[in-house]
Amino acid sequence: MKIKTDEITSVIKQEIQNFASQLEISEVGQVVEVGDGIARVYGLGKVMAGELLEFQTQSGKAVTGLTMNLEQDTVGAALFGDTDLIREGDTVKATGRILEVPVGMEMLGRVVDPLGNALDGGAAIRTSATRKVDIVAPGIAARQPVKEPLQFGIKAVDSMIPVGRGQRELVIGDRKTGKTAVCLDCIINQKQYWGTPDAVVCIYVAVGQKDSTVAGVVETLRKNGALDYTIVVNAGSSSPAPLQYIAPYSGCAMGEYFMWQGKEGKAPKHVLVVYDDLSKQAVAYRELSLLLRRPPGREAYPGDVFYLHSRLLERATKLSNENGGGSLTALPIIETQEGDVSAYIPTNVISITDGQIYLQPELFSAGVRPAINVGISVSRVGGNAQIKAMKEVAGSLRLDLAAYRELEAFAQLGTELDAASQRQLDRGARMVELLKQGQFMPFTVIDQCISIFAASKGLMDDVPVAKVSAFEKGLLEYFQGPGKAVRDQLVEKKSFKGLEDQFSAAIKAFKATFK
Amino acid sequence: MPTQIDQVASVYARSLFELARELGGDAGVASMGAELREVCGIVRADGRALELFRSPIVDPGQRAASLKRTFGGRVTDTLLNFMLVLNRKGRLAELLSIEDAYEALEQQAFGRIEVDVFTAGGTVDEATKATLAADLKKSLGKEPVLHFYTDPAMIGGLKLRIGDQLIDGSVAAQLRRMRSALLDRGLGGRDAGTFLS
Repeated sequence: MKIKTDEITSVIKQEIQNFASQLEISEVGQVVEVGDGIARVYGLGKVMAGELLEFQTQSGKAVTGLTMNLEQDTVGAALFGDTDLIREGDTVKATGRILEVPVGMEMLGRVVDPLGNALDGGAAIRTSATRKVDIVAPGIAARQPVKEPLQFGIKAVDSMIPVGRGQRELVIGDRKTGKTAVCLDCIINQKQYWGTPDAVVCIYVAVGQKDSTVAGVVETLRKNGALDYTIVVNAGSSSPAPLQYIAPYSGCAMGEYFMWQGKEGKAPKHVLVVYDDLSKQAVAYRELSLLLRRPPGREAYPGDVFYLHSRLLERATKLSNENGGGSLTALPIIETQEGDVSAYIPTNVISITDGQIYLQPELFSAGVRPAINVGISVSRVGGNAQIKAMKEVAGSLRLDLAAYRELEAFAQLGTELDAASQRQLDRGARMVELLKQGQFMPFTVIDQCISIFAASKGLMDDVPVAKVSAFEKGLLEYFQGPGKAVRDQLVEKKSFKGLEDQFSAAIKAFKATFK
Repeated sequence: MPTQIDQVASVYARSLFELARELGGDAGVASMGAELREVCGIVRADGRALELFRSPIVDPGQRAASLKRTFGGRVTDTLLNFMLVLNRKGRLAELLSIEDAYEALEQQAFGRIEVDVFTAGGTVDEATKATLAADLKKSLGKEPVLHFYTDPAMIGGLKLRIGDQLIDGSVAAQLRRMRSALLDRGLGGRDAGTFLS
């Protein structure tokens, strides 16, 4: 194959001929002060808040900045990129644009920084489209209520804290309680939908984390075949505060591209964005605000730290059918200190989101993993999105567990219990055992329904607690083999109505063979 | 080049400016400006003078006496008194910023505007300067005060800086725009395959 140079030359010639020589008129200013990822610029009289600035450095390399503060004579700007190059007196140009990131299918499987530059050592990413990073969320008319489930593949979540597509569900807990693991499980569980109209693109935004941790996450995703439909946006703990501040917004913008492409009839149109974690983003924003001399408020956070998170999470949407019906589900993560959910940032985000998954260190160390406290975890909208079969079995599960928790305290006192209470305790212990689940082992929703059905109908009451997980494993295998016909009916009808007797019989038949 | 003027300097400059206008009208403003520039020229040229003005170690009384000795009879009483007031308020170090602020007020009052002209190199001949001044006066509606600078990185052409506005007609800027236009439009809508055989 030979390159036709003369043709390329002719095209370039044509382009040059058509190139209109115009004067470039721009607003300019000068750097007065620079440091800590912040610059103060004198001049730039007509610059707008949020406008991108171009710092022309003496080395010839341009550095971009974002207008944050408009003061009487000066402008405060957050800097992205090589801030060491900027010197006092350098010329700053207003660009008339606002911050944008590259978006498109080319981003899938890549690890990028919040500006969309590749961090994975792969080829430079060239996309045909870009999207604005900080936009106003779609309004009421553009949306519809959440109605489709987003399956986590985790029994405790899908049964009792169901999350719908387009919902905002907070994952909250102390350090080392498995917050990231729950979200990664959810990402891995989306593998089964990839390639179907229900496909979900996942975006994992890491803010202020160790690069080694993020590398571990990327490796986990790759090993489980989940990286093909995932974008990882990383603003590590060593990156400047401005980058950590915009990372969630740029991750969201990358997701919105897929959500809106549903309007053109394209798939995938469903997106899941994990913000890991927003407490660190708030800290980065606090740093930025204090350096910009904005007045500090509670816990030294600036007054608009609520707006920082509300405008981000408001962008989680289930679009109306006229808009293609795409969705963007947000899973923000918040790290608490010693279980204190009444700190400033946790209360803010709890009030913004549509429910929370609460992870407890006590449960984690007691071996209940995922360490979800189902008593205080809630989902405010996802119930509408559950399949019928799950709704039928989950109600009694919640009640059984509540009764169990109440009686558990008594049982520890060693008091004699009546037969009914003892039965409830036994049932509860088996339920808790059933909800334990290994990491990166997502269950399909039908399998979840079958195991919860077995337990809530009392069919596991005579299985020793230690054998519950083995029983469950065997049971699910049985329904892939001899019991497949019954299972297929459930897959088709998505409800236990009329199938209860058949299921009970099948489970009993399996139990007879189980040792 | 426009420089940042701090609030304190602009307040003092305005007082001096208004006083000069009350005492001598436009001519008074101009002569006061010239005098101020001269004093600042001396201060700027002599590092020791600047040190005397700035140093907090020097006793204000002694400094006042030295100011009277140095400038008494050589500058107008108004300017000397002004400097003595600055000395008493501990603001003498601001004198150079006050000069900038005064100049800005002067330009504004006389309907003049500062224009920085950048060229790639060499000297600009008088005819070009005159044409430039005339054209700028027509488009800006104000008398331009031209300052010339050279910037070899421009390659050629002309660059004007009027306040916060930059009008870039340099060859370097055009090349930059051409580069981004070529990159943006890519192959002019053609498929890459057409360039291969």
